[in-house]
Amino acid sequence: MSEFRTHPDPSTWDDYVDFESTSWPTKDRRHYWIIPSICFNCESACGILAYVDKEQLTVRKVEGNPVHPGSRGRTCAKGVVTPNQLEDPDRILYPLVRDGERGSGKWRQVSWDEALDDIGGRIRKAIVENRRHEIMYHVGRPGEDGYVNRVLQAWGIDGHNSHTNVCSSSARLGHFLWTGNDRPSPDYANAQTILLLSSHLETGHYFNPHAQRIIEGQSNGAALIVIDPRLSNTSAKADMWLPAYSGTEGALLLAMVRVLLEEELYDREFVRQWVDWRTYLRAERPDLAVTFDNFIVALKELYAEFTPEFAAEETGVDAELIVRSARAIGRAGSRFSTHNWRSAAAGNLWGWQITRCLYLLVVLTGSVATKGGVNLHLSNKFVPKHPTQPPPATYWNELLFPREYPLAYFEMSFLLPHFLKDNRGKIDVYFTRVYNPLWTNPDGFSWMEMLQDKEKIGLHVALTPIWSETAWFADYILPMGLGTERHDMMSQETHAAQWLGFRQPVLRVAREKRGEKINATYEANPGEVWEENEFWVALSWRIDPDGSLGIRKHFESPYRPGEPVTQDEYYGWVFENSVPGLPDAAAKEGLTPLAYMRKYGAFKVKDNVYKMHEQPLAADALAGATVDTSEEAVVKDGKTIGVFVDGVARAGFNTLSRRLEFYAKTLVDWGWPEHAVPRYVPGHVHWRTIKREEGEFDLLPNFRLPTLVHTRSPVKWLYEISHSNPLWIATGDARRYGIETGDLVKVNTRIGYFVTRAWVTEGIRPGVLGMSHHLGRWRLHEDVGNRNASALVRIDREGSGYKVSQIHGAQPFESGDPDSARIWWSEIGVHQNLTFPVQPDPVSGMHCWHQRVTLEKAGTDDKYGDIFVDTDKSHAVYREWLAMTRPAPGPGGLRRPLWFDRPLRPAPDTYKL
Amino acid sequence: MANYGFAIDLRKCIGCHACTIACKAEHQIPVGVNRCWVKTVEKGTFPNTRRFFFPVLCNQCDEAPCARICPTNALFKRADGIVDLHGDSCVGCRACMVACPYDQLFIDPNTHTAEKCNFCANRVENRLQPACVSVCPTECRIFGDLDDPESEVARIVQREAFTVRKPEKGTIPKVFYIAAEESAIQPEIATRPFIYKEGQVLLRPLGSPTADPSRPGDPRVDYDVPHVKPWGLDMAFYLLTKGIGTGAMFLSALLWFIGVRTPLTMVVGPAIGLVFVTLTAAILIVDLERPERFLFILFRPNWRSWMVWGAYFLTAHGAIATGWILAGWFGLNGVLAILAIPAMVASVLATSYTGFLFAQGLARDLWQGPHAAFDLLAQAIIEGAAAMLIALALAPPVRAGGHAAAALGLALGAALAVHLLILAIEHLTPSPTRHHELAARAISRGAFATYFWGGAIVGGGVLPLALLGAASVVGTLQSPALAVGISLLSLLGAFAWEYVWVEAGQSVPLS
Repeated sequence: MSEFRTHPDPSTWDDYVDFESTSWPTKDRRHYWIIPSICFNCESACGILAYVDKEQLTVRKVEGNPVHPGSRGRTCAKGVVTPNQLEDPDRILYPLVRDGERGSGKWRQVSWDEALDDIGGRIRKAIVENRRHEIMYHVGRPGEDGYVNRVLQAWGIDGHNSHTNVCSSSARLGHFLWTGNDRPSPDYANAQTILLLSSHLETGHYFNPHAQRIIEGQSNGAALIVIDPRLSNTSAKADMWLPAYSGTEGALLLAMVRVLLEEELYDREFVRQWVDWRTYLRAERPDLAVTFDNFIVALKELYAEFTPEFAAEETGVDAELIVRSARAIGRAGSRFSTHNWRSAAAGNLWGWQITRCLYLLVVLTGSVATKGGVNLHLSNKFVPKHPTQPPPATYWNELLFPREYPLAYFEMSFLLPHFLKDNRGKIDVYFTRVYNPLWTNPDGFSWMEMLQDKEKIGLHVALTPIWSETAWFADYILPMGLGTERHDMMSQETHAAQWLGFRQPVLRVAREKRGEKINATYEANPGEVWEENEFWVALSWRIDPDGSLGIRKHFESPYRPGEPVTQDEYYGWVFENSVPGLPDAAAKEGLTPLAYMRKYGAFKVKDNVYKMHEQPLAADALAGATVDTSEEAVVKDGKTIGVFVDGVARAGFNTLSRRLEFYAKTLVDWGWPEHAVPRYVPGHVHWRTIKREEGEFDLLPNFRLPTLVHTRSPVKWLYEISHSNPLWIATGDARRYGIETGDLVKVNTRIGYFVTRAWVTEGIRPGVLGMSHHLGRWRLHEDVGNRNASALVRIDREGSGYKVSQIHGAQPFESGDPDSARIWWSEIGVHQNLTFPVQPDPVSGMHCWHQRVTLEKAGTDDKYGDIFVDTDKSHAVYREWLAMTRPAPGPGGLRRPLWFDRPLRPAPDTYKL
Repeated sequence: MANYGFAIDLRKCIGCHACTIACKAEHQIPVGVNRCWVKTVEKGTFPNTRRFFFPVLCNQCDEAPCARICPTNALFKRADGIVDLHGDSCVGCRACMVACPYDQLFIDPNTHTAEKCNFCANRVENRLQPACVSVCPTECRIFGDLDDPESEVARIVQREAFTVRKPEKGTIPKVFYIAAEESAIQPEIATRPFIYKEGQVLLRPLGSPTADPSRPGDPRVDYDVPHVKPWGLDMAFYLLTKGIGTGAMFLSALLWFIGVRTPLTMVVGPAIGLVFVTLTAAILIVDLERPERFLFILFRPNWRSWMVWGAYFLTAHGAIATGWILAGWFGLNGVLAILAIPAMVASVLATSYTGFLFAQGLARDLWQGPHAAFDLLAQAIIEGAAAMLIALALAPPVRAGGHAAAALGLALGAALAVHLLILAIEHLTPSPTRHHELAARAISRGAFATYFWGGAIVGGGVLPLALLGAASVVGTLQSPALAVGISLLSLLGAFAWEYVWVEAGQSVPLS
């Protein structure tokens, strides 16, 4: 074992003495406080340590937190660049208010007081006038658990909008239909075979914690199988790479299912005990007696057509490779781990069926919630209670969950501009919170039109640490803290355990350690950067200054009634009252729970959490329950609360039947009977429908890089590595067009086009084009925006369209950071998302990212970065996809099945139409 | 004492670049330069395509060529085997960058001194893993003491199959790679595109292997960091001025020695020698990243560095030339008799040491071998003779007495012939290494072909030689115009070759 520590021992964190690296080998000693926090750059919630220089009170560097159970002391590149973000010469340090037309680029500094009064007054007015539905909070990746949801509930609004439908809806819906959990929690480290439809070795939910465990598993002998039409870094590490055509993954997976069935490689007992085979047989196979053997017979019949040869023909993957992969899965026993987050599910229409097909493998191998298998997020993520729980909202916001999408996972957020265009409502106060829909979502110019329209959006408040294309069209820009400048709690299902992480404003903590009295985080943050939590408390007090609206009480101190709650009090209460084991662990070290979390930044609540579904039902739960012998289920008050497994009443899963639901009765009840079971449905860009002779291609636009997080990380050290997103094109395809690497190409979508450079490669399936997701940032004013990461552009109106032309790319500039004068990259990618129409899956609501495009060599007038979009056309495409839906009401006159959760759930009776 | 080493298990590397950034953060590395990074290579045809990640960092060589060439001992090997650097002593001569076969040194744009990876010696002394090891999500990097049999790195070196970068260089690297792909660990194999898959290419080595469109599965670099080539026109000018200066001094002393005792050999030639050697020194000093520290080379000498010897040779050459001019001016032939042999020796040394200095540039295969020292001598005679012929032509009084012009013409012709012969041998014999082959190809068929064929071989070599031959047959070398023409052509030819030699030598990717 190495005698070298990965990190300084926690006992030294209050005065860590380090040698200054820049004057080395002269031994200058520097003293640091090492203060833990949580990275704010993606949703992995990795633990970080900030080294706060005791003399200069600055964050010298950020490393991983070795105490953190999820990330185990390691981070990805994006975590380490936090100081780049803190010192970014272009970050926003003061609140700004628009000083001209919206989008004019004219701003003036405003006081926080003025901003809070204005915004708070406006929200109060809306609440008092019963226009709660005109308040909306739109969040990208939350990076925290529950704080803002509670704020919105306290205001009594159904106004939580998220980014999920451009990210993971179809993965979630697929998992949810099977298990009642919307996310899997693979136990990679202990797996024997790992199958990835996502590129978790480079990105994803949750990149660093998962990547380390996937490689750990592989190093311990696990076979890694990756399905991806593109040679991702993950594919590159695969033992078997299966580059199926986009949208054919279902066929591939069902062929594997067939191998497991035919070769008896499935876990018979597990399936018999936990799958709803009785329901399925009764509903779909009345011709068969309800026996488990008949279920297997039925399964074999159902998937008989998915021979390896058929799958090879359909997917383009070698039949022998499919069989070999299936056997590796079968051989893994209950140690088969898999994941699908974005990629195939997010790329294709009916992507959630791909997830269901994938999960069928998990079920057949009996790898559900096992060691080395796939756990459930509900048992691996720990969410503590907050000090008070306000009542849920009492109305239903149809801008979030319109009746066309009763099964959406979740809010139909990316359709908002089209809903407003259709006069389905208007918004009086609209918060975008570290969220850049104009850039990240498809059809960004419809967002621009919406944000510019003061009739539709009364007041747009952008809460953001940095400039974004969306913030440009705000009325207020309120600068919020980065990962070391704010308080949050966060937990994720990174592995088979439960843990809680704590984000802290490290300079505030440092100054308090020095004995200073700090009343609010902004006193310690640079400029006038607030932390959001304190903002919400202050804003809520302005909304309800006298407490008459019943809001204020949720923002009062639990210890000092009638006074605003401080962050110490808020988290002190949570850590004392709702984190099992934390008070004891703290007491052992002579610390308060809050002091313990401030010192270590994370707490492991439980380890080795497996097979929670096998928990026997407690006696009090069983009291008054009856047994449904036909289903072997425990029923109480008309609801199934558990299942009988070999005579013992067990908790089961979170589905209505408490079993793993092969047969999705909900889909049948809500008008999708053809999708009752996992089946193969070709996607919207299926290769057989692509007219290659007419220049058509399937564009895979949603792959990501390990170095960037969408629009959150435009910093020098990352951009130095990754700064543009050329179009991947297969060698043979390129040859047909006479295209070489570096040539300009023009990609036409249904609503416009973009011009970029070609990257000719053997690393992508012929017929498929690829383009990474994060790059192509732009700004409209020379000096306003992230200059190292954006092109200066001009947007000209052309008919009902917009033409974007780059005036120049990134350029060196003078600032307090000498590195800004050393920027050597100029082409910073092309913003492809602008040219994508919205393509909502009619069931999950997922934006189906893949695009049918036509490719041509760029003409002489085409310049790098040219973009054209016609928003009239994009609205027409929206209508086409909308017409595919089967709207509510469902059974019982509901808008949405009651068992379908929402991120912020309103009162149950609002589910009724 | 420990002996630190490093293993990288490439089976585990996922190419996430966390190490690159952790290193930047630990050492506050500016934009544009790197102590460590991850190169990636794509290889194979669909669907058997693979991408290979190849993290690179300093090998902390046992026989560190950077420390050997460093003139001021700024680079030094610690007792624990780490090759570290005293920025305070660094003059910024970039010789270390020329010496390192692994492209691991760079000039820090903030301090204008060299920088390199030192296994995070500042952390190691606190018993902490290097930053790149501590951050690595997949724990593919293993750091430890090679002399401690209990350490993981020692176990790997003893029990597992590994490779190192360029073992043939004899540097004894201490970064061991498990499961390295050949086209990633050997920089001369993979082709280099003009853009990468995630960004632009800032500096593409001109001698990079080029892609063959009919072989799309050939390995191709799809990410690498930019590497500045340390030497450029500055060194070509240095070679030119030094050649003129030392050549003129050598020829003056030689001619004087054989009896041509005229103002040409007693004052004018040595004056050319002094002026051009002084110019050479000025070029060298101005070219330092920290010119104000140039005396460190004389006063903090590393006697293993040919740069130090060169500095002393040039100083000696300058001193002797000064003495010669004074003695020559006053006609003190007795003094000149004493100075003649030392003058010739000093000018030969000041000429030829550069061959050994370039050969200490271990990174560059083109510069290896003993022929360079001889070729430099031939070039110096070409340049010195040409300069003196021009002086003769332009200053008629100097022409008086003796057969200086004929002698210089003879020297020029002979030197041209020898120089061309050396080039012919160099380029007609097979390249000893792939690196050499790429450099030679860049010269004969690549980016430098025009300078080489047009300048060094024909216009500045064969042509002046032919003219010289014709002139001596016809006896018209006394024509000033012709002499100047031939001399200028010869100078241009020599300079063209010096430029090509410097540039093409550095045109092959090292990492």
